[in-house]
This record gives sequence, structure tokens and C-alpha cells, in this order.
Amino acid sequence: MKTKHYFAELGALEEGRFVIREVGNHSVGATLLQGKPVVIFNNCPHAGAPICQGKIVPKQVLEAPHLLHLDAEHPVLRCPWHGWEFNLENGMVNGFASRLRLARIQYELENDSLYIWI
Amino acid sequence: MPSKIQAIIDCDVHNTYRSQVELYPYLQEPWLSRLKEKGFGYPLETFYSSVHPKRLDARPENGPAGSDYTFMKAQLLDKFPINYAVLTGEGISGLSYMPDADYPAALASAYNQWLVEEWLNKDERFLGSLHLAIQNPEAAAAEIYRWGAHPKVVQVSIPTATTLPLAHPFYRPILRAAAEMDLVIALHFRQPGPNAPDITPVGMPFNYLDYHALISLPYLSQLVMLVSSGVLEELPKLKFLLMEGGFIWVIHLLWRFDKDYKALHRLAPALKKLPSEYIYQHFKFGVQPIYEPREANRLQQVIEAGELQHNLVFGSDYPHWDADEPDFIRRFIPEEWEQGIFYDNAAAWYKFFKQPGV
Repeated sequence: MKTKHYFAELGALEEGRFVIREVGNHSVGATLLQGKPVVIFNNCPHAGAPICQGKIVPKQVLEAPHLLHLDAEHPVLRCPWHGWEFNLENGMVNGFASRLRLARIQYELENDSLYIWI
Repeated sequence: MPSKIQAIIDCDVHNTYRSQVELYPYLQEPWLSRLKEKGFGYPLETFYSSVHPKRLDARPENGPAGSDYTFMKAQLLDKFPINYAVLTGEGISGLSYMPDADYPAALASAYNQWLVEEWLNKDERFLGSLHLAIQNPEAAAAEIYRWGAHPKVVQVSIPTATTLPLAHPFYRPILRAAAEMDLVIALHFRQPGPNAPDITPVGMPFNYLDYHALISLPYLSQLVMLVSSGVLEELPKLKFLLMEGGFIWVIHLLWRFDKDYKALHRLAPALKKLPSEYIYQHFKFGVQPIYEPREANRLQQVIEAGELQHNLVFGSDYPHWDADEPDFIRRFIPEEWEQGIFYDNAAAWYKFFKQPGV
């Protein structure tokens, strides 16, 4: 059964990088995406890397042949080991079809405190 | 989660210095001044990659990834049941691609002394791989004789792409010295700089993706000519370890090379048996980066088709970006092969394990 844990004050989170905390036996990372928290297990579904130590980078979009665009509105999380990229909005792999997903964690805000359910 | 593997020899751990300053005590003039003023003189990066070259979580605070023993110990050696780790250096093999002959030989010599004096004694699990300036074969051979009797020096590392085939008589002093000193010759890929040979028959890859997908090409070339030249009859103690180049292509050679030899054996007159028999006897192959087929057990089927399970060894390639932890590789191989791939096959290769009591 999941239990509720205090994670951090909302003000401690920021866009573009993860705050990483140990919660019970789990390493958990949280960041902000357009002001909203994204909370995930710090574990890459591919090979188990501490994914929250990866970089959050703009998604590369091919708009037309030879015309590349970096889309900062839709950043992706790039794994610090093998470089796989994950969409932060839905946890899906960016760039190719895969069943693997980031393991997202349910959270709730009470005043300005972030609680997570594990 | 603790590892499920019993014992591991990691054949590919990239240690390095914090900066070139660590090599200064081991260099004589005028090479010392040259290093101080101009650096190594070969480019460290060639192809553009969209991904970091080394694991982002592997960088200690005080230097590049692989430069801090305590950090490496926690992140690799103590995290897994690693009994031995072969230190293969970082980037230093690029000195084989420098155009001059004496300066790179001096750098190789300094590197090897630094390796022996500053790393091999740090941990009883460490074994060492020498680096050589192969464009200067006599100096390279001298370096092998200088260190070859050291009990923890077990290997020499050579970049896979070379100007001439390694089987060419030009390189024979290196091969002869390695055979005499019972050192494994590890072919390990090194990104070619401006002075390096093309790694494909159609010119340079466009970028790091192309390069990394094509890495196997020079391994095929080296293996074919090492076998056909007869150097393995001349130096029957030669042992090769082909790291990071994959191994599924070996099956192509096992079958194609034998077929061709049956018609064309007059062109390889020194051979006394089929090419495939030399391959099984003289070559082992690293499993990292592990093939990741859609269904994991397909890899077992391929390995069985080539009867290659006794010729595969584990090397993590820590701390490079494409490193594989041992328990990740374990997902793709059957349990009954683990003892061989993670330990026994490498132990059969390195002279260190011939010592009584090891």
C-alpha cells in the first residue's frame, strides 16, 4: 500500500533540473515543467541509471528537410548514461517507439509543500 | 539491488589522470617541456556527438571521470562483485595517431610508469594494460619488455584502426614482444584524429552515430589478416581481446573465411588448420556494448549458432557513456554462461591467473 511522504517545499523546485531526495528505500527526483511539478523515480527504465542526474534539454524537431528546431517549450530528459531521451509531459521515450516509460509518482500540494505517494 | 553475479573480471575500466601534470614526473626533457608548452598534440574528440562522452554521474568533483580512485571504487568496484579490473586508460591511445615517433613513445613510457606506480598498487583488484606508440614498433616492444614481467601488467592496448594491418611485418616487434611476455593484445577503439586511417572503405563517417554503428569494420580487417598472414603459427602464444567492436560479425567470418580458405588456401600457405580454428583459439571478444535485440533470448541463439560463448568476456567500459553494468548484460545471456563470460573466459586469457594461489 502506498504511503504519503513529505518531499520538499515547492519553492525548492525549479525548471530545468531535478531535486533528488531519498524517500524510504527509493531515490526520487522532482522538477517543475511550466510551473507544475513532475515527480519520478530516479531510475532509468532502460538500464537503471540515476536518470534525474541527466540533463533537461530542448526537444529537437525536424520541421522540414534540413530544417531543425530546438523546442524549449517541450524539454526532454536525457539519461546520464546511454543518452535515451524521455518526454517530461508523459514519460514516453523521445525519438523512437518504446513501451518503456519514466516511472512517475503521484503527488499532492498542501499549501506550498509537496507530498508524494510511494 | 545486490548483483546476482558471483564473480567478475572487468576487462575494460578507463582510469585517467586529473590532468597531464600527473605525467610530468615520468617524462624526460625535451619531452617534458613539449608537453608543458603544447600538450599531447592530438585531438581528443573528432566526431560530433549529441550525447555526453562519459556518464554524467561518474564525474568526481576534483577531475574528469575515471581520475578518482575512491569515486571509482564506490561506483564500480564495490558496487558489483568485481574481483579484478583491467585498467585501460583514457584517450592515451591517441598517441599512436601522432605523426612523429619519439615524442609519443616517450609519452607512452611515462603513461605506463604512471599506471604502474600510481594505480596498480591502489587496489589489489587492479590489473594493468600498457599503452604503446605503435608507429615506433621498436620502442613499443621495448616498453613491453620493460613492464611485461610485472605480475599485474597483463595486457597492451592498441587502437583498432591502424595505418597498416597489425599482421604486417612492420608491427612484428610488438606482436613478438607481447607473445614472449605473455601479454594479451587488446584492440580497443579510439576515435581517429586527422592523422588516423579512415575507418570505413568509403571515407569518414559523418558523425558519432555513424562512427559508433560502424565500429566493427576495422576489427574485421585486423582479424582476417592476423589469421591469414600465418603470424599465429609464427607466434602461437598470441592472444587477442577485441573490445567494444561487437561479435556477431565474427560468425560471418567463421563461415565465410573457412569457405574461402578451402579454395584459396595457397594464399595463406602458413596455415595448418581452418581459419575458424585460429579464431576460436586466439581471439576473445568483449560483450559491451551489449546487443539489445527486441527479444533478449535471440542473442543466446546467435551466440550458440557461432559457438562463441567461450570466447566472450565482460568489460564494463566504465565510465564511458555507453558503459554497461554487469547486471544489465546479464539480462541478455543465459545463467549457465555467466561464470564463463564474467570470469572464466578472461581468467583463461591473462597470465596473472596462471600464478599459483590466484
